[in-house]
Amino acid sequence: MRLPHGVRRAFRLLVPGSYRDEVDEEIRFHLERRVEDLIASGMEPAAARREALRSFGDPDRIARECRTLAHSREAAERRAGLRHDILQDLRWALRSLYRAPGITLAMVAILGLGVGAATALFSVADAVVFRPLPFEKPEHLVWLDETTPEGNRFSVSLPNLLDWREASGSFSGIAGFQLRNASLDASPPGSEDGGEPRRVLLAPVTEDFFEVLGLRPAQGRLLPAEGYVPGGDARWTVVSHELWQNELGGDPDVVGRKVLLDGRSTVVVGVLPPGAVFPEGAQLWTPLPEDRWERDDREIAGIGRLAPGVSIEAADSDLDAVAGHLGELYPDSNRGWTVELRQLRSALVGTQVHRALLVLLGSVGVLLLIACVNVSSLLVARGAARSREMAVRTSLGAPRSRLVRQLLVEATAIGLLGGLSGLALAVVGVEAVRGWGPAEVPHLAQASVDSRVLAFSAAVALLSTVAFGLLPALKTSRTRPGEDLRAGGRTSAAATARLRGALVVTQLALAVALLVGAGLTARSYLRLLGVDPGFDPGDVLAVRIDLPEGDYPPERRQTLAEEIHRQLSALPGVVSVAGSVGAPYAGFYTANEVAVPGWEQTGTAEAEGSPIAQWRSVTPGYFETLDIPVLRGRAITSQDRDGGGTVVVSQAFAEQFWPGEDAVGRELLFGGSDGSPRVVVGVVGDVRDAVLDEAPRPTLFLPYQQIPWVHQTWLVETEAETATMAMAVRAELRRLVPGVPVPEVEPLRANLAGARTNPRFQALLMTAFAVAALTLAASGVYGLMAFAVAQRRREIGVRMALGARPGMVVAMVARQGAALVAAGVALGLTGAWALARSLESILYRTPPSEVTTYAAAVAVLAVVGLLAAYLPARRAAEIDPTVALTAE
Amino acid sequence: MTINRTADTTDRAELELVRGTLDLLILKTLTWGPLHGYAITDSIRQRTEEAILVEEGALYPALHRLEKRGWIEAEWGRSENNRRAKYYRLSVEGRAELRTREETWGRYTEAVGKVLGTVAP
Repeated sequence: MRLPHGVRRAFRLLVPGSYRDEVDEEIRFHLERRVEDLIASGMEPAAARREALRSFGDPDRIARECRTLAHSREAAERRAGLRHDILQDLRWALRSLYRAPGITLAMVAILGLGVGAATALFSVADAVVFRPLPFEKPEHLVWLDETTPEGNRFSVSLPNLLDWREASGSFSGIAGFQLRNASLDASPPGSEDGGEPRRVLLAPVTEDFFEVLGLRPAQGRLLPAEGYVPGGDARWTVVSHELWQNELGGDPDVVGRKVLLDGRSTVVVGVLPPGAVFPEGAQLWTPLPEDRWERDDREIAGIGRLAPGVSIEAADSDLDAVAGHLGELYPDSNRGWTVELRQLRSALVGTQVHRALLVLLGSVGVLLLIACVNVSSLLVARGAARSREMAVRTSLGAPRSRLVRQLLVEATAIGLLGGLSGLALAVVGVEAVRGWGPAEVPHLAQASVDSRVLAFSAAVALLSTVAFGLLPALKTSRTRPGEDLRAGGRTSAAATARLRGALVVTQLALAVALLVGAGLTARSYLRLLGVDPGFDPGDVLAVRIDLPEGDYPPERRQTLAEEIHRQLSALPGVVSVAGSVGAPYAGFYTANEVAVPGWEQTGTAEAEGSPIAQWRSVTPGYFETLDIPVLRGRAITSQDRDGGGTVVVSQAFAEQFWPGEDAVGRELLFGGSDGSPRVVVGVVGDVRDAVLDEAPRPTLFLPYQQIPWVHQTWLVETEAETATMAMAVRAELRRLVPGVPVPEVEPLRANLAGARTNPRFQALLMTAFAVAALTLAASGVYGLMAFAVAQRRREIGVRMALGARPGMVVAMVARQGAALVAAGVALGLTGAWALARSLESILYRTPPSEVTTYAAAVAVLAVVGLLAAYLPARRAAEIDPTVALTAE
Repeated sequence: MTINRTADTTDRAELELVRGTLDLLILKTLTWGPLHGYAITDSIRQRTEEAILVEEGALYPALHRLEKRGWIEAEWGRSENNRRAKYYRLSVEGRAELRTREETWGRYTEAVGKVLGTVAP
């Protein structure tokens, strides 16, 4: 019988290189036949051989020609065969996966969860930490801070910055900048409605700011044509791509256009490229007035570009030498002050966020690992059920490599499906993180599933496939046809169960680590929630306005503050009103040197310079509105007029400078030893209004009438903080300060909640990871135990027939589960300790070794794990001996 | 028509012509059933009265070429006197190829014959 053509081709065994002998044999056959035929026709044997060779031609040349052809044919056939085989494997894989939809869905879902979580978090970390800043050679950019004599970071004084630039050779450029609110009216000149001024973020910058960053204009220039003229009278601005698009309508003739910036006509000289925004959030850049700064006005931020070949450490010590020299030249303002340099990236992201992200990335990696191990364990189980199929194929002549390949193709199919569903999950996840993530994390809004992230998740899915697919493939393909066919797949069960047991223990151990991590971050967050900020933000609305300096000289600000206070207080439903420079947790802090006559700094041998205290300028009603208790003396009232020198101090301040004594009536110098003298009129309770997880800072409260800054934040305590109230307050303010942008009025509680966003975000994510890990590990335990019970049906049936009670059967099976859980816990505690140590820096008052957290994590895992083992155990006890024994 | 089959004296066009002719003859010969190389040689030599295949060995590269194209398939079998021999048979694709080539050849020879017939006395 001849087999059909396709079948014969499919079954043909290709022995590499066999064509060599075949070509020779074929030619030899031809020559011999010719010789035989010639002899038969009566030729002499010797003559016949000569004639045969003559008529054939050169056998060597012909053989060579044939071999070349045969070789290329064989290679082509092998390629086609491989393609054909893999396609066939894929078809088989999809068919066999389709035949077991439950387990396939489970594997795809588990893998999708792991890949999705990892991808989402990677895209966040990528945007925030990994992606290079959009500047030329960003690794050479540094952030400059001054350091107080006490060693705290402080902003920079412009005269100092200019001297650094002159004196230090370590930099190719140093620039200073500020970031402040401004109002922008971009409506075309002469238009009737005049337009509503918009609140924008403006960055006044020094001359070489853009040069230091290495930015080039997308349109126009980054300096006016006549060059940079320092000073406040230059009326030009550079705008961001985003502002050009959104506020200026993408006007193609934007260069040269005039806009009203803080009420003054300003010409746009250039547009930056998209995404090139520094400092974060800035929309416009204007020249920084360089002539009106005292040396102790430390109010700007500094950046520098390291000269080629100069390390950050070398530049740091170089600048410290310059700073030391300045300290000798200007002892009043500079003695004891040094400079601190940080990589721009780490200065922007902050060590806390940076570390937290890396910890989360590590945790999500652990989750992915658990998912892989789980899928792996499911594949091993599936493989055990298919040992018959494998045995049949082996005995039909399939080599082991072929079986491994087939199983790996199956794993790849799962990997692909899992990767795709993970990607879908990641898109949703990134959206969620952008929505809920802490607002202060820079570049978070740029997080998206882009090509980099796609490449990452493809790599993750692929690596996972190898990770979870290889071991089961090797295990399943190792068959002993004789035994497996006879035993129907039961003999290899013990080995399979051992392997699965090891995989389940791994999952449990990893889950313990994540549970401990989640427990620690959650406890830390709860402790942070329990911190008393020292003020009550309940039912208080807050809104900040920034008065244009030119239109509102100090006297006008003073009267305006009184007027606003009066008008807002008169609104129905208002309980009390206060104005202040900066509100709690609004990202606006002021601090200044303070000298207290007769006070000697303790602890350090030499008191260098003056201590720094945080200060706020507040109107009457501030303590009442925020429910800050007045402990001694009186609050700020309307009797604290312009020209007077009064101050209210916080308890921490009083205890630091006048320990055990009454502070009221004492005198201090605001601004250092040559500052203005002020008399303490009251002491109030401590307030944590800048950082929640630190001890309250010593704080001074000065009357707004004596320090009338242009920033005014209005705090309005209401009977019930509602949207209607917020609208009423906003409307009233707009009436009182026409032409000044008034942003949305928001509850003060939002500020406080914002200070807790980051820890909450971390705790939520860690908990989500831990819950997912726990679920996966529990399903692993459950699957293994259910499998074991199914395998031991007969044995259990025999035991019960011989008199074992159901309780004994449950105990027997549960014991096995308990052993797994115990092994997982023991292994997991080691891993947990490592994870906890890396969490240390982001925890608030929660030591990484906190025993109760570990105990709780172990308890949760034990309960869930044992429950997962108990369910199959109970099913084992329900086995009916007669049914179990008569089956098969 | 006699053909000198050494590569150095045959130009490319002529080589193509020989190859094409030989391929056609092999395919045609195999329509009778599977044959080994020696039998194909004999068949072609007899039926062309030894005009083509001056050098018998030239058959074998042609067979390999056809096999590579998938027009014929090879299989080892037993010869008439019970020796191992490589048998070639026409594949489905080869059968289709033969049909097209026969048509082309027919049209070609007819056209050439007409031209030659008018020129020759």
